[in-house]
Amino acid sequence: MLCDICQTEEATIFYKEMINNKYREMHLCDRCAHEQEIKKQFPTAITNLLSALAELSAETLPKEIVEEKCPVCGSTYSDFRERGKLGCGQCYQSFSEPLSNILRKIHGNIKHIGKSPSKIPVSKEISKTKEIEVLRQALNEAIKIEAYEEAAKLRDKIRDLEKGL
Amino acid sequence: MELKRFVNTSAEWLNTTGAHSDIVISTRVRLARNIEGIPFTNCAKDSDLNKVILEVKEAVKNNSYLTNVAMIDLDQVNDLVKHILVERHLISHELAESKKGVVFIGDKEMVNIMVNEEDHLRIQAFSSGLEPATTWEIINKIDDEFSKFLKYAYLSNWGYLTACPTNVGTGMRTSVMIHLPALNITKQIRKILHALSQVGLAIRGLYGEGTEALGNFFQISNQVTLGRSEQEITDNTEKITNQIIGHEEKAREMLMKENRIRLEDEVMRAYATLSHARIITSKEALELLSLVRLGVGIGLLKEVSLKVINELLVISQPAHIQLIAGEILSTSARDVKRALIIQKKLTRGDEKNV
Repeated sequence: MLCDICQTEEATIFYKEMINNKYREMHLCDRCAHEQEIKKQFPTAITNLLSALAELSAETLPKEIVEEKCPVCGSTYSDFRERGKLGCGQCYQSFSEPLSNILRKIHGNIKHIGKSPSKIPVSKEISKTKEIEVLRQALNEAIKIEAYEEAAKLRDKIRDLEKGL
Repeated sequence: MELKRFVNTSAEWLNTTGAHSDIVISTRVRLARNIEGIPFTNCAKDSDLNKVILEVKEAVKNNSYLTNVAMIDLDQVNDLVKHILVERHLISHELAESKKGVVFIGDKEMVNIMVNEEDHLRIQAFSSGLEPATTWEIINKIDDEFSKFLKYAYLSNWGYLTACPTNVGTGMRTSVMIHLPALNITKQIRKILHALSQVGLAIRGLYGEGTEALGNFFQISNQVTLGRSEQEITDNTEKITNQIIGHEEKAREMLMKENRIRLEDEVMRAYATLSHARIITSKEALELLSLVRLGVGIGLLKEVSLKVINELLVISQPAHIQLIAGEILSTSARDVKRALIIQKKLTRGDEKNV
């Protein structure tokens, strides 16, 4: 079914509203729904989910913390709740308390364990062992499909890595 | 910018050299990064955004892993060019609409860097087939090299800081573009998609958030970016995608065993329409290409290669049709031109598109 507004895109959203006893139904594509600001009302929209989460944690906070401004970009915590986006890197420190609640809800975790910009990986040895493991799987695959040239390349790569351990 | 470069070349990640290329079209890994001391794009002034462009330009120039890079300033190009870039997965819809957006495109379209999207940098690397580990390896090197020239916004407890808290931590999203027609025909797709959402993976249509899964092409990607290492994320994506591939393969075998003639009929009808029809809409093209792709993958159709079909998936879209035609066309004129382009490509195979 085509979108009721643009008549070109496929309709992906079925929208019903009841205002002052007037009932309206529309089939809309993503873009038109967005323009009509209808998408915002859907609980699945990620920004909406975020502000819902933000509201949850805001309830447990005293009012003055909520309205504190980030000293770098001037954003407040309510700005974040509205936009679903933070204003700058400093915001993470300015609003660290309510943010850790949100991060825990989104990621189930609040401690970064990935790489860092200083170029020191968490553990070189571990990543190498993992890499070898992956290469071994690829090697088996290559042998299975009789891609011997590829298999030889993989074998050499594994040897090189093992030497370094 | 030379538009011609897009007419007869395809991204190398469409060439079906990667693992499980019959089912997985490509793997993409992207890293979200911001520069310390400059507000995120949603809060930045034009002068801030210009500064980001200058800094990234310099970092790209000094990055030894990036060669033959083309820079496209999106403020300087028309809507058709933007659509071509979106159809080629080189930019997002969001970047096409943002101000001061720039994209750097690497050799053979295997890597690209979007500047001033939701985050200052969105670094992306592509591979053919299911290759999360190798794709991560490529992007990791590029990112390390960048961090020598750019001071990233980073906190040791929360990792790379991003405009949206859903990306904080590794800033990494691994997406697999996967084709699951047999799971749809055998009506198992809903179950699989539901199971995926239970293990923290998101499923979207071909063009990311909010897009439809036309032709049974899906994007599977990780949701969690904080509290897991990059290796864990790539391993998990690979492991789960392998399971889905297993289900799709089983469904394909079942279709061949129980209903071969019916399947063969549908594949051949799709192939016949694509080779002979005079008018084809982009939606119809996608659905028919999906069936033909299944037919080729399963060995029912030998006249055409998976690579040609992958390329057709890109060039049969509206902006590419107009690019090849060399002019702006109405929807109905596009449908006629599309039929012609598909027909030519199917008979000529890997040769040029015009």
